Amino acid sequence: MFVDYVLIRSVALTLAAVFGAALALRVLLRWRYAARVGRARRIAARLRAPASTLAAVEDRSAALDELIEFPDMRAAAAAARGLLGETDATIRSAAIQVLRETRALERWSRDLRRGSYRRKLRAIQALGEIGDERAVEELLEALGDDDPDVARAASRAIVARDPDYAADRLADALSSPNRRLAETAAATLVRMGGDAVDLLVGQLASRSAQARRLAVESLGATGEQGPKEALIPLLGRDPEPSVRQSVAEALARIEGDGAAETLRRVAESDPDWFVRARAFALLAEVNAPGAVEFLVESLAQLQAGLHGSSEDEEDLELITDGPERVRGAILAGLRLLGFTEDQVAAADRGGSRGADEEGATEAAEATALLRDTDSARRAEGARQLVSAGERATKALQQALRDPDPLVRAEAARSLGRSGSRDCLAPLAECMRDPDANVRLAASTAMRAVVTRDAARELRD
Amino acid sequence: MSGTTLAVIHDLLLALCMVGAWAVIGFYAVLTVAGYVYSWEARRPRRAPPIQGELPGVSILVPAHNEEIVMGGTLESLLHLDYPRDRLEIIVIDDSSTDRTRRVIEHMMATDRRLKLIGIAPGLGGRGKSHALNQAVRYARYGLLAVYDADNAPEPQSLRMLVAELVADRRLAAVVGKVRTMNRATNFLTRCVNVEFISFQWIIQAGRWRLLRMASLPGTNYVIRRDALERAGGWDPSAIADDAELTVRLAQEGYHIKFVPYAVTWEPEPQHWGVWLRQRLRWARGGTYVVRKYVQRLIRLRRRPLLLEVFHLLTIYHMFFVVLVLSDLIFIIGVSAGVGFGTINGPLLMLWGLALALFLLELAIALAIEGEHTPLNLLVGAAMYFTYCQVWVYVCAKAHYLDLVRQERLRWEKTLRVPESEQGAVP
Repeated sequence: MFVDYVLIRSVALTLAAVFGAALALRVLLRWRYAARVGRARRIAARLRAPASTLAAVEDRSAALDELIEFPDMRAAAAAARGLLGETDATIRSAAIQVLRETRALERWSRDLRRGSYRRKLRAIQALGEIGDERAVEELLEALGDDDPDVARAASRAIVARDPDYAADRLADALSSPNRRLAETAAATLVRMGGDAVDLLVGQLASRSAQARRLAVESLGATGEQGPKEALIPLLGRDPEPSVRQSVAEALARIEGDGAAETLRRVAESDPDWFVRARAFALLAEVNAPGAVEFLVESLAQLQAGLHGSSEDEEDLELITDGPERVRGAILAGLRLLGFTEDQVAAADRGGSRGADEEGATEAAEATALLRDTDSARRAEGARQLVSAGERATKALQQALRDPDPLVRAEAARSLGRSGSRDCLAPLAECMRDPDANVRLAASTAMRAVVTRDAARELRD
Repeated sequence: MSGTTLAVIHDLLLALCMVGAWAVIGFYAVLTVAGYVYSWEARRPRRAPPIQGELPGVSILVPAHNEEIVMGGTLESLLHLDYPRDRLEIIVIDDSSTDRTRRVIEHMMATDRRLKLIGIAPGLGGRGKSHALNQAVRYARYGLLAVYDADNAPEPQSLRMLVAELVADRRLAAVVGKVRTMNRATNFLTRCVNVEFISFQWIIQAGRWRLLRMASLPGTNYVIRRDALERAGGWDPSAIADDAELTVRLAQEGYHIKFVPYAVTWEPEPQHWGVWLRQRLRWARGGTYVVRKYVQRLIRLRRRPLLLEVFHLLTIYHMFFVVLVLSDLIFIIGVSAGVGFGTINGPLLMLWGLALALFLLELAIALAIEGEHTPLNLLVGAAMYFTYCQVWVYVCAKAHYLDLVRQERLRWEKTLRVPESEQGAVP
């Protein structure tokens, strides 16, 4: 295979020449643009001169006209942007006029609606610098952009500007059908703080459930105590469950365990199952005083009315809504409050008194006894658990590790009377117990378990 | 056996290896080019394509069995998806978990109304992911179903992107996103898995979509139309590779499946060889189940995507396995018989080397598309053929042994999870 080096060299040189020419043209164009921007900036600098004399005013006016009539609109707009940082309102308004006349505002508005991500960010930055009424309107529209990063950038630009009337428009935007706009508007109000809180409180009376919910969430996010009194009445009168749920969460956030009384009321009486479930969970999250007793008691009342939700033909347990969700929330709350799994199970069993009467009461009481500080009572609990059957097995196995040998021995004997082969391993470990009574009880128990199993097998 | 006879056998085997290897690599080369073209067409947009009217409702299905380690993180990610709250429900199917999975789910359910739970009773579960999903579909509210594994962390925009693509084309039964490896920097194994996943998705998935409008369901991070699923008959409870099996049935019904590379989910992959082996054995046996189920109908098949799906499974688990075995045999025979490579005709060995170079080039292209063409990854890719790929020989051999010799029944076996402290962070 022959390689035509001459051909390759010619092609390479041609490509290099084309590339070089393009690069040179680009550099030339950029230099010319930079020169034009420089000229425009020199004209714009005349706008900064103090207008203390008539001649100075006329010169300023002439500079403004020159900038508006400048042949390169982009250069003129770039120069005018440099004036936006001035504190003098006259200079700023002159700069905005230039931007309007050179169609820079139109360009940025168009970029904000249809441009790429980078163009949108540049437009937001520019409009944020302008900050007049029209610019803020454009930024408010951008709060609803599909791209959450663009929406957040617009929100930051508005907060940085903080025009008075933007807060009103933001509050109105809470009921916008554009969810992104509504949510970003709420977040912006939270960031603004101050008078925005009053506007949020005003939105609590809005006809739009979305606006009310966002207002509640925003007030909760501010953490301020002031709106608390405005929030509480919503628990009793707002028809929308998501709003009531948000109120409960906001109160928990604002008051912490101080919201316990209110949360208890919600947990007991709200018509929506999930709002009740959430209230139970919040009581646990804020570690409200008396939460444990309240949760356990509520669980017992709930179990009495619970119907199974299993699909008999498939033995599926379906927990989508209703009392089962409330039960799940209570159990989760108990775990959050430091209940062990055995204690949770005991509370659950204790709660299912109405549904399952076989030893449930005994199991709950006996398990509770196992947690007693008095070893004699713990031993009594271990003895009582023998009649609770297999449900108590786990509790008894744990009791084999009790510090008091009396309790360990009673637990071993109970397992011997009621346990299955699963108990043999923990009982075998008791053979190394330092107390002779425990070792004897364990060996007797193991013999009993094995004999009972053997008899069962023979029978079967 | 004389040296000449051995040399002839050696050369014949080498020639067979060449034909097999080049057939497979040639097939993948075509897919690589198509995947590269698609990567340009599908450059990551900043946002999901706009949807006319309201976003449709989606039911997310998450089957779980003993997932206490990963469940909480997955549910957090799903609850933070950028999707309207009143158009989304998340159904977790607790398949007879014996650990704390249930408790984790209950804790999350107390914070968000969208979470729902279906519990399969102890003793009646463990029948696999397909069975769990079929149960969940009965209670799903919406017409679009999204499936995520219990150890996934989808990016917030990913669901919107998948839904937008699906509703834009009625011929699509499903859209599948990309799966990335969370713990890719942990050790050599996870780096190999990372390279493998990137290659699979940009070569196989992207290439198949670009050429034939037919990607493959990956088991997680996909959205499927409920009516298409019902028309295809739901998930096959006998199939371990439920995703590949359903793909074939959807193709039979005339549907397409689109690969959407910018809808990304992150998941941890096995960090230990034992766990990896069990996982891949399950996949291999699942794949051969699909092949056995449909190979007899191959002659009557008219739809190209269906032929391609079955052929693709053949190439991964059969042809590649055969090529690797032959390749290894050549080295063994050559060394043990003292034939050595000095007696081999130059072009054959050169062809073998070129095939290897092309394989590495395909990996490099896929890594470059993903932006992961680091020197370390390229080195891992080079080392993979002689290490990671060779272990596939054992996996495929064992799969065939269990299927054909022991005729052992296919059983679902879950992958052991990595504790969160050992997982990488989602970038």
